Parts: sequence; C-alpha cells; structure tokens
Amino acid sequence: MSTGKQAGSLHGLGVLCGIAAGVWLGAAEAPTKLVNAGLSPFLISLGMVAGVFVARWTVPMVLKGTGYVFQDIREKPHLIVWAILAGALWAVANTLTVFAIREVGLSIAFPLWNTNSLVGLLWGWLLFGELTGAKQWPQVLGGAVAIAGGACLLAYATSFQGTAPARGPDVGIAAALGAGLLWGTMYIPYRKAYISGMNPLSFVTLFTIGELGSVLALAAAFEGGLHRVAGELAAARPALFWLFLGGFCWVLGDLFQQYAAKYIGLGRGIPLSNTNQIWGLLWGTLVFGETAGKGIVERVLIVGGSIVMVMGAWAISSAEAPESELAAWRKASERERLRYGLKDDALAVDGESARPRRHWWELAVVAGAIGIFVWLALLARPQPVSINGVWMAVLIAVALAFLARGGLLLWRRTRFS
Amino acid sequence: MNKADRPSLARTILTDIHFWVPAAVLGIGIGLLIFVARV
Repeated sequence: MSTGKQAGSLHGLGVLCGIAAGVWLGAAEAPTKLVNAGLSPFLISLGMVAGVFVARWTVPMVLKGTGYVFQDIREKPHLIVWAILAGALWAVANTLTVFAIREVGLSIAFPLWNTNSLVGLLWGWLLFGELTGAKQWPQVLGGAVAIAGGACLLAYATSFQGTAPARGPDVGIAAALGAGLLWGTMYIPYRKAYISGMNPLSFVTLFTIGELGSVLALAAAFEGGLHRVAGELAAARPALFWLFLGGFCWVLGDLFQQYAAKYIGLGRGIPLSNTNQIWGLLWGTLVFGETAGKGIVERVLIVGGSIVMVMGAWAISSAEAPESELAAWRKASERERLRYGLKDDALAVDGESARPRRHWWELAVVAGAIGIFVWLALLARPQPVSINGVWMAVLIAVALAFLARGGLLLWRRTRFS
Repeated sequence: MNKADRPSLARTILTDIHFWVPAAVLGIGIGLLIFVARV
C-alpha cells in the first residue's frame, strides 16, 4: 500500500477510473441489444463471457506481458483462491439475475440486486477498515444510496410497461437479493488482492478462469449438457460477434472498476462504477430509441434518476480519504503482509521494481485474439435493429476519450500497477 | 516469524475470515440458484 501522500494523490485517479468503469460497463450493454431475441439467457451470458475470456487474457498481456503477470501471481499464490472465488460469485449472481428478471421483471429486480454497492461498502468497512475515522462517511454512504436510488428510478422508468410480469414474486425477489449479496461480496476478493499489492491485470486473468468455468457449468446444468450448449453456440454464430464485442467493452469497464477498487477502496469505487446504468440508458435512449413513446411520468423519472445519480457520484468523488482512514488501509495491508509473508515491496504503488522480459509468442496470442474477432465479424449478420448513427458516434467518442484519459493517467502515475 | 514457523499456505487460507465470508456467500448463492431453478 502507498504512503498517505501517495494514496491522497491517487484519489482523483481512482475517481476517474470509477466513472470510466461506468461508461464502459454501460457501453457493454449496447452490442448485446443487437442480438435478436431467441437466444437463451444462458447462451447470451456464455457468449459474452467467452468474449470476456479472450479479452482478459489478451489485454493484460499487451499492457504488462505474461512474464509480469505470472511473476505477480507467483509472489502472491494465495490470491489464486480468491480470484477464482470472485469469478464463481460473479457467475452465480449473473445467473440469479436471469431468474429474477423472469419472475418479477427488471423494474423490481434491478433495485434489489443494485444493493450490491451497499453490501460492498459494508464489507469494506467491516473487513478492511474503509471509512474508519473518516468524517466523510455520511457523504460516501449518502452518495452510494443516491446512486443506487437513481439507478432504481431509471430501471423503473425504462421498464415501465403497466403490466405485472410477476409469476413467482417471492422466488424472484429472493433471486435478486441473492444476486446483490453475491456481487457485493465479490468485492472482498478484489480488495484483498489490492491491499496485497496484486496488479488488477493479474487478478482479472485468474478471475476469468473461475468465471468461465462457472458459467460453462451452469449453462451445461440448465441447458441440458455440454453437447447441447456447443450445438446452440454453433447455431448462434451469426450473433456471437456482438456478444464478444459486448464482452470486450465489459472487460475495459471491469478493469477500470478494479483500479477504482484498488485506489479509492470499495466504498467509493463500486458506487461510482455503478453509474453504468446512466450510460446504458443513454445508449438505449439516444442510439436505439428505446424511450420513444414514453409518457411524461417516465421521462420525469429518467431525468430525476439521472440527476440523483450524478449528485451521488459527485458526493463520493469529493470525499477523499483522510489520513486516519489511510492509516486503517495501511493496517489492513500490514495484516496481509504478515499473514502471507509478502515482501515489503509487494505493497508498493508503482510495482516497477522488476520488469520481466516480453516473449515473442505474446504477439501470436494477440494475433490469435484479433483473428477470433475478425472471424466472428465475418460470420456476423446485420441485426434488424434501427440505430441513430450520430449519437452512436458521439457515445463511442466519449467512451474512447475516457479510455484514453484513464489509460494515460494510469500509465503515468502507476504504470498500470 | 521465521519461514519454518509459518503455518502452511492451505492452513493460513482456511483460517482467514476473508476466505470464509465469500465462500459461505457462494454456498448460499448456489443453494439459492438450485432452489429457484426447481420452483
């Protein structure tokens, strides 16, 4: 972990990463909207996670090299367990949301599982000393509640159909609450890794094994075996490019979220990245025209929810951790160092003490990943969805601007450590 | 603590509350998933 001065200077970087995470996680929803109905939710999830898997092994390798990633893992081998646990938690939570939406609809399910940021905040405080001694804790908590509340208003407004989808409300509510609990708890491994000095790029490389393994197991269990899943995937080939593209955007958003969790903690980083709801809404409204024909009540809810979310993000952004809280962070780091026999420099911010050399075959892996995307793009069929090209260009430009700014700052200040 | 005195990695992990909290929640999640899939 960094010194107080270093961590203080990293607050702005962490906030930028949290907001960039929201932008890219929101953008990840766009390609999936291009996928025609008819694919099972498990298959959509599996297609996206397969794209995530390809991107998660490629992006870290491009940025730091496999030598760096493997050295990082060798120095903290215990974190393999937590990374795979986190991947499994994500996969089970994601599947629970499928059932929740099916049983009670998005407008009820979303607010319930959106409690994940509050669960993360609770674990951050209880297990890692976040917000300890911080006078701004009401500001952070209030901001998190505002973002969750704003997201609920948006979810309610965008799924306002006037019909009751409820078939088994108790089951749906339980599934949605369970998803929130699992996602909120998934941040424990995140924080555990970062107070141990692990690079987020190394962590996501391991995380994705647990994630893909669990999603495959769940798809096989619920879709009637691996053979059938493979057959359905082959049949869905024309749509796979869009799912892979969504997965790729999701990886960029998730990486920013990981850096936010590392540099400003769970209590601040997770609610900020949960602003992805507002960006998903912008894509839906401006590019896909989803709110066309909505009444005045829905429009007021959308504007109101967005304003509440922005205010929540602002409240958290301006609540920099004071020295007393940074001392609690250092104490949590010290616990890890003593417990797992980590080297002192394992907790350094820049992590640039040793730079393992690059290998020629890393280029081959990158070429292979690009090849997969190109192959799927050639197989892709245009989907019968009307889009607004101007707004799409604007939103892509905004997302790329956040990527460039966030990436550049991460490189300059931390060398992606 | 000397390296020789240090408990094994598996033991260290299994006595860490940071392991048991997410592991228990994952167990609850899998149980819940089986339940909702059967209903």
